[in-house]
Amino acid sequence: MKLYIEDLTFKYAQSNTYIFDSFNHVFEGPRLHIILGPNGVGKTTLLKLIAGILNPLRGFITLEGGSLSKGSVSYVPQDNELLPWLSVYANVELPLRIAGIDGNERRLRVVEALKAMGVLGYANRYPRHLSGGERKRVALARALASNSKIVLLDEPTANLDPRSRELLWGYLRSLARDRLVLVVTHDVSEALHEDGLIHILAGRPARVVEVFEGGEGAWSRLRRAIDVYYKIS
Amino acid sequence: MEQAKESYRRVLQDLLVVVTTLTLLIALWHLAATTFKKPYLPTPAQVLAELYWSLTGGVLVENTLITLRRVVTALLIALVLGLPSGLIASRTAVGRSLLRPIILATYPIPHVTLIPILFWILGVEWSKIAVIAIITYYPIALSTMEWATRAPREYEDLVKSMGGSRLHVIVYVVIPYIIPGLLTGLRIAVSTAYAVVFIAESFVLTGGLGAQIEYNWSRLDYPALYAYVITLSALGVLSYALIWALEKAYMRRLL
Repeated sequence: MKLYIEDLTFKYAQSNTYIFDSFNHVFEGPRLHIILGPNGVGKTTLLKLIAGILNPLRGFITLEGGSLSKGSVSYVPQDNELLPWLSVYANVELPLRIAGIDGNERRLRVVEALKAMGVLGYANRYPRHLSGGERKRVALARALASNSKIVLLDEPTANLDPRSRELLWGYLRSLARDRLVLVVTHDVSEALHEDGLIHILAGRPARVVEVFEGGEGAWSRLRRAIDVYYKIS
Repeated sequence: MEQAKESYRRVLQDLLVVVTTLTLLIALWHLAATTFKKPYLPTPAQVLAELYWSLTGGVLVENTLITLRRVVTALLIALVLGLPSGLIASRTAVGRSLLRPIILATYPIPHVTLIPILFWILGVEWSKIAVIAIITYYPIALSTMEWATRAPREYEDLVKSMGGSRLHVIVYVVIPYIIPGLLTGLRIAVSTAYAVVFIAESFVLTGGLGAQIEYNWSRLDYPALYAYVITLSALGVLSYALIWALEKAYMRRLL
């Protein structure tokens, strides 16, 4: 599966600066993609554009040439990833309710997804009773239950302890086996993860300046990229 | 378990404070009544006897039910009108430019003065309900309006990213978010409702606690008057406490 971004042009209404101007890129899946870049370059904006939360001034975002239906994308924001007034179960069930899926199937899919992400025991709890890592896993369960082909995560490991980070990366890798998973981060150490394809986003308007395989070998390329491109924006 | 024990202890403590305060107040009242010996200040025992007779005779229950029916009907009408109109006035462009100014401009009007007009339009019974509904509509609509504009954008985005419509955003984000504000509005509305029901019921006497207060006042039957005032006040306090408990329970789940 291929996610095409073509001629994407976007700026915020109150600003004169274009975040993206005729931006073109392709993300190929199923795979784990890691988008790195300096603060404020437009990483979150890119995710929000793909998620359909923001509308581009010009350009297209398509999946295999077809338009991107909203249900085919799951978005996990950096904070407030779960609705605090819904239980864990109801949070995971929400996209299925919105999609109009019937009760029995809903229940099966929610339970299966909670089990897969190791959070079935928390089904009746409310988000405030969960740790940061558990909340992220519930948000991943929501993406899993809704059968989205694309999962977008904004800084998923920010504010997590090292053990929770490792656990979360494990779940992300398993999710990326049959999905296109896009992880935005400004923490360069995340790039050391195996299986990930690194995309460096830099400049104003932003563009993808480098793409390379993640893992231990990526470190030298990453350092060079930081030296060159992180000064631009 | 520890938490349950702690909250149980706190409830007992609160209850003890209430009982002590009430006992002290009744003792003071008794002292004042027996010292000054004025007809308008009967002793607590006289009022208690009157309460007992009205209760066993069925008059108290009958009139309490009439008042409660009026207040509850009016509050339901205020809620059914206040919640959607507050949402429209804050969440739609037309509502913001048309409805919001109307709600804000008509809020300071002394609506209780509308009783005589409402009486001719709606008749005796519905004019009483209508005036309570109009007055309690405002705290409900205003708190809905205020809270709905503050609903966090991130949660709206989340529901939109799931393919949710505007209605989904209202149902899953805006309404759950405004519930604490709505309950505060309802709490203010309830206290106002019991004050207004007295005025409405004493306008044309067709039953209810307000009518009984007015009737016993004109007969200078002070023990009976006190009995009905106490009943009306107790209703107000209980309704207020009920909504306050609901508010606390909801907030405990979120924070």
